[in-house]
Amino acid sequence: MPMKIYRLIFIFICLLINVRLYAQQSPPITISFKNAPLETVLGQIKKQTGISFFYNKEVVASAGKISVQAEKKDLKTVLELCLHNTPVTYTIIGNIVVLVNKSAKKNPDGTIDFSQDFFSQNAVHGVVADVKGIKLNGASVIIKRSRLGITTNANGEFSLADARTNDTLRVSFIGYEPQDVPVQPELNIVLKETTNELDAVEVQAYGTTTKRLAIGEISQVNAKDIERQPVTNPILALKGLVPGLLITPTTGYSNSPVKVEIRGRNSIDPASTSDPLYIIDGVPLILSNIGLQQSGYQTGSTGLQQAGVSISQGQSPFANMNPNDIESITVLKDAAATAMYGSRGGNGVIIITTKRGKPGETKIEASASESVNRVIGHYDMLNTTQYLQMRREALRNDGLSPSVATAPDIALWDTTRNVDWQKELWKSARNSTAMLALSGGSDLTTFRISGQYVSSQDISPLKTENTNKSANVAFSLDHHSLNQKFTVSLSAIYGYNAVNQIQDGGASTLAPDLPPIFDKNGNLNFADWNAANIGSSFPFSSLLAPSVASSDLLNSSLKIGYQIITGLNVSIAAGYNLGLNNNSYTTTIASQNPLYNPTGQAFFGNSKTDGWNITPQIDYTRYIGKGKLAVLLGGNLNNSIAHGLTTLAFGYTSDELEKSINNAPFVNSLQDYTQSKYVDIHGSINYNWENKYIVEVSGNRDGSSNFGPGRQFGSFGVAGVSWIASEEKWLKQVLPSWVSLVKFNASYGTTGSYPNIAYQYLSQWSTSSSGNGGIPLYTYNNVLPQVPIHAVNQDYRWETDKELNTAMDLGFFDDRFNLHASYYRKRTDDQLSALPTPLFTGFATVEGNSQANVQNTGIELDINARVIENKDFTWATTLNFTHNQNKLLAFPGIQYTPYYSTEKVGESLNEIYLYHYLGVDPQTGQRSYQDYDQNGLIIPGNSYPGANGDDRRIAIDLSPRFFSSWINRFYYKSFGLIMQFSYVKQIAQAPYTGTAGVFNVNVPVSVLNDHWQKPGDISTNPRFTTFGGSSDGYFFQSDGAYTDASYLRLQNVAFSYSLGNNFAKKIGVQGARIDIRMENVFTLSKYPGIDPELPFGNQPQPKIYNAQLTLTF
Amino acid sequence: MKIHGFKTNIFWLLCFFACAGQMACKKLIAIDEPINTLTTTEIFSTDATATSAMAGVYSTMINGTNGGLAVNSYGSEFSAGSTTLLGSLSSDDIYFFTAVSNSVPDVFGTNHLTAQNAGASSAVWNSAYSAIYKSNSVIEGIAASKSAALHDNVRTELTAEAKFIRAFCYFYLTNFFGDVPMALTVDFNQTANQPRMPQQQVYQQIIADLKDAQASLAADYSAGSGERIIPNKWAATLLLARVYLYAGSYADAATQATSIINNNALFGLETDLGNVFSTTSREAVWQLKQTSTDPNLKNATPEGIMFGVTTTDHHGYPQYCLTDQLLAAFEPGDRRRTVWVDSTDHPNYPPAGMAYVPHKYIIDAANADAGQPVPQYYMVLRMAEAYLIRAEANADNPTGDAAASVADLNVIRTRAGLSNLDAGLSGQALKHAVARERQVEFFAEWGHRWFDLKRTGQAHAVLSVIPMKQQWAGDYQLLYPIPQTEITVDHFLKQNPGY
Repeated sequence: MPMKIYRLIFIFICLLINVRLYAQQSPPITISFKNAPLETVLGQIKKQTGISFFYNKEVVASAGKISVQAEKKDLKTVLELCLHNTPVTYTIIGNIVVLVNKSAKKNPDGTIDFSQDFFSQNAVHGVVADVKGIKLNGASVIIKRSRLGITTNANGEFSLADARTNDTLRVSFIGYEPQDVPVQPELNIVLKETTNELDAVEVQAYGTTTKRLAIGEISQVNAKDIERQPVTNPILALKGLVPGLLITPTTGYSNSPVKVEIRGRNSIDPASTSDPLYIIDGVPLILSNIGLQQSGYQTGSTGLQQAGVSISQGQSPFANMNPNDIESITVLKDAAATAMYGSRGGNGVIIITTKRGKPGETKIEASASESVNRVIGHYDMLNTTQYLQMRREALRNDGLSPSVATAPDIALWDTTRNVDWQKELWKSARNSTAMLALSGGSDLTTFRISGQYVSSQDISPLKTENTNKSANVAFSLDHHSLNQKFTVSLSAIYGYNAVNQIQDGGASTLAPDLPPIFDKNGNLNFADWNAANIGSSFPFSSLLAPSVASSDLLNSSLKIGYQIITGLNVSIAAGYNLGLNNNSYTTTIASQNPLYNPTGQAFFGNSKTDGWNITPQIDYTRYIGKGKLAVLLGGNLNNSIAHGLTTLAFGYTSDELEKSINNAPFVNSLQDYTQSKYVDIHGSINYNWENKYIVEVSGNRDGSSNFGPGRQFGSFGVAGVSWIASEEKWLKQVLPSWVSLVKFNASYGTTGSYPNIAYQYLSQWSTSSSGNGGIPLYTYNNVLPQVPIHAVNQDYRWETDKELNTAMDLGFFDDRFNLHASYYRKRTDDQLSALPTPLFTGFATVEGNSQANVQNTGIELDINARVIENKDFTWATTLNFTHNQNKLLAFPGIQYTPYYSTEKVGESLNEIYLYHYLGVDPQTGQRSYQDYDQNGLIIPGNSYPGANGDDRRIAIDLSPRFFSSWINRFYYKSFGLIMQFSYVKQIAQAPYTGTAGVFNVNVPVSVLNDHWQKPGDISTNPRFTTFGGSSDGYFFQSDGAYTDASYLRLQNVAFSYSLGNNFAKKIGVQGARIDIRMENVFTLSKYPGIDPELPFGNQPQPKIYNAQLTLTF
Repeated sequence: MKIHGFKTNIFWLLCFFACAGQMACKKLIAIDEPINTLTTTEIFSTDATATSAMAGVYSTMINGTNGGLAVNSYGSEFSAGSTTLLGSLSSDDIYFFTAVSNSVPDVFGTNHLTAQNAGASSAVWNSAYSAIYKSNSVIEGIAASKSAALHDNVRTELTAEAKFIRAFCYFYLTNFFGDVPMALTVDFNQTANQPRMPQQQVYQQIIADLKDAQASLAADYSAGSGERIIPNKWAATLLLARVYLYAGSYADAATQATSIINNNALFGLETDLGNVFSTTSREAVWQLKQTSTDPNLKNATPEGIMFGVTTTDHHGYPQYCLTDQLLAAFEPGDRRRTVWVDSTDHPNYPPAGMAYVPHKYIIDAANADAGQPVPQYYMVLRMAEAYLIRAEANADNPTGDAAASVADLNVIRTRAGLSNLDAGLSGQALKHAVARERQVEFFAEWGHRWFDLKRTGQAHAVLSVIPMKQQWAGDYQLLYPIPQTEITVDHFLKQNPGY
């Protein structure tokens, strides 16, 4: 098989060499013609030299038939030979030979005077460049009168026939302001970069586009919005910036996986993540799902960690990237934007593009920043006096008297201690970052090199145990040939990340009079707990159970491109992606109660995920009639492999030994492995008629090795139209002049999803029945047994997503105020999941397509306005809004599946079913619930919500109803201020759902102030009791435990000040900037807790204060 | 304006993409086999790996899938104690002393099963069908294998072993549950949506499989290097004899039993009852060899752990005790009552702080010791049953030889230290003697008593009057309920009536 790839590359290289030779400047010409039309002769010359001829057909016809013979002669000689007996003469302009009548007027220097004679024969030649003189390859040049256009060649040159003296040309290029130019024979056109958001370059699938011309739903976040946030994981910087994109950190640890969901939940399978396809500089990121800690919908993908155990439950690959190396992150949301990714695009696509060098002086940028992370707030919990009051009342209610057995916190321990465990266990953390970037280059070659070092901490009590370090380097190099036709670009990023974490042991609910964590000798204080015979409840063990992990991420890519003729480009891109993770999670002897003579144990994990990717591509753009046709055809070959090795080493007799597996008396290892290959051919055809009507058809045929024989290949496609109504003359007349854009989009298409577990179609045998390790089976008759580990289904196929998207764009006041509104309906059918089978078939489930059909419908709004634009002061504002409604549309046979107990047809997948809470019974002081079936019992039943015997009938959808962000950017001279607000409308679990009075469970002060004490009391909280009865225990499963958790938050504020040039020069630098930034500034919410994003007891998200100094040299 | 040379380029590029397109065939996405697991093709490519697949069947049957965790209070494998426990509870062998009302063993002991509380019977169902799946994998894997390195003798041997195991599993399934679905392939498409097959059809399949196994399996114990741990021709013969007996084919049953009894070279009754379950027992026809490296099981058998008195000083507190009905069935002087029964004097037990437990396996939780020799394997089939099968075939048969029947019974009685029966015994009395002999010989062993009571029609008369089983819930209890989850997933399955 690899032979085929080599052959493919070989063919491609041959092709490149072939076209390269052909492009050489005027090689010697050998021709021989007798009585041939001049045009034929010219064709032969062109073939041999690559020279283009530019002529009026009548002129060339007037030369009649000619005879010519030449051997290895240069161009001029051959032309002389051809033309000496004809009325035709020539002139050479650059790479083009222009043929005219000899009678044409000449300038005094002997060249042809284009202004009259030739020009009247309708020809114009010009060059388009940008302000820096870089020639723009592929710029559009349109004669406004005839609406006919062409594109510039690699050198930015164009030649137009049919131009008339009084014509005006419209010259435009993506990302630049269009320019109207009166026709002249020789034109040097310089385009300025646009300031209009609608015309800014946006990355799309395998190319670029603009908001104005895009049919697909594309949102792009650029460097300036990523840099202003003091986050270490660039994906977290997307939070609130992209309508339709929901970003949720899964744990409080900085390297933890991030749950990313675009336009709602597609899969009913709780084991399936909502992760989109990530592409970094053209290379797809590998996300596998093997190993002990499994990925899932709630927890996201475990990322680089594919083996072992960590308390951050995985390692986000993006935590290994430097946010400052990112030029843009583009989110492709609908089928029109993602169809070319076929079966991988079902959850959307996120494209990360890294920064590249720019021609000019070599620039050095150095920055250092320092942050302090503090918890956002503390819960107002009982102090010792109040806590003991609660405990005594609870004991009384239960008819108990305080004794060492019933209440060591009263009878045994020091009741004068009063510890605020939140302050004790949630210490502030410091982060330091230093970065250096070097960039620059010539017209032909540019480069950028950057490095970053971060030393950070997570919020926790033991700082020395909790220091994380990361280092990143990025490198990019771009080169193009002198004639601009040949381009090569190379880039690589590498990130190293080491974390050392511990868990805090549940700070907020610990009793305030607990004995100290450590004893006099610095060991965990088990003695005070053992004295009460409750040594096994000691809460601080986790402080000495470190979870250590180090990860590496390498992403590298190479792209070679060549322009064969104007508008026709071929390229091949190749990339490699490598992720490594080593972790250990140690239960030290010191963390365990010495009473039980513990031994140490440790999980060790080693993971490696790597993959390569090859993408050949050809694209062609030209004007046909009044429209511009762009055709793209490409392929993709992708291979990815994940290895995991998890070892449980146990029986350590000393904590010093736990650093290595070698020192363990007992080990138990398991190996995980998966490989998958993907191949596709994708293409798109886009026809843009006068920037008024745009039609696009794109598609993908792909195959994945994750499917069984005969099921590997699938086809996906989309068709979309765009109507820029404001370009219609009749509408322009009607519309007020301040309306600058009216555009409508519609598209419909399919994408897919495939399982991220390979080999399910194969019968697999293993030495342990769970397959991924577990305890190996014992030998039988001295033979190591092998058993089948899963049922075999060779027939499962893609999950199919069908998406309809409609959108409207409005622009006002010369596009200073823009609105983009979209409505979508996405249906995901043939859901891949574990289908239940009767156990008599051998297994309880089989991988297959279930009949579940899930629908997401939603509305997204994105408003951008440059409200004030003065010389000194600008104010720009962005407001976005997302509403998504999830619905299980249909699921025939749901009653035969495990989903019957959690999902209901017609409802959201994220809906949960709850008892109806009736409040505290004034007579008994116990919580009471609605007994719908009046059977006198409140039991969950083993059926399904709403069925007989099951009183869970209240449905609550935990997905946000809508979320919205408002970003304001103010600039005054050298000052900048950016503020990002977010608003989320949602329901979440209330901050307190427990039972008050239980040993070592502290409660909020509000509970003490409002609880049941005697029959007849009307209270919010039930009677105090030392053991949670079942009636109290059901509370968290009732609607009483859920509350409005909507909030308005000032997500971040970034203030910047750039030092004046003069001052900068005084201190010997080119520029200097100071940034002061805050994250999580304040939150307004009716939610009774301190962080409506996280349930009670969890460590709240930190408030970050950050200062950064950046110098450029 | 004309663009010269364009067509040539396009041609080349189309060629390139045609190449790419053509190569975008299956081969481009062909991947290597996984390295951490083996595929069916790989497993059945050599003698050694194919043998490991069959070892997987035996190992999970006796050791479960999760190490020593299989040895919990009521077992998770029908073939590692579960059948014995549930069959003994449901009949009148043992009772659950530490009975918590509605707990799993309690509902079996009182015959108050419902579709919801019979979780332990699901373990029988699940583990038996799991062994059937593995056996089907072996049968189909070998048939599909084209490997020359998988030799014919191994193919024949392993296929026959797998068929024996399949028959063995279906025997217990149909006796516990009645009509059961029959999965004879690993293809879930063919098996998933099937109704229950009539018991008669299940027996036909069992007999067919056993005949195949009998014809192909070795007549010696070479497969286990002399240990009787891999089923052979005689294991198939004894099970076939039992199946014929259950099906009422007495002549066939007697013929099969005779062929074992006559094989003096391999088999004979152990005169010392303490040796019957030993690893070297001449009475053993098939034993499952439990692991001796499990930290919980150590050198004990699953049943030893389950039934032991829990302390070496015999003051322990075992969960399962022999019933008064069983203890009363022993004649005075029966050595089985002393050798195969242990006791504890824990004060909690009535009437005088004395309780009796099965003690066929001498290593229990109290005296199990890791690293020590393993004195006993888990006995599945033993030749004493051949005598009792022939005795019953002759007794319950109008054309049978009553004298021969008594003679066979006396062989067993003599070994137990009992006097011979009256040579003139016949008719109902003889049948009764056979039943009683089976009761005391096979108590707490593989559900014999439960199946015997059911197939001889005595279950109602015997069980419905036992005080512990009041109120007698009804004879529908004689079949266990089909696991509810199975019916949920396969709606062609119908629950046993009464549940």
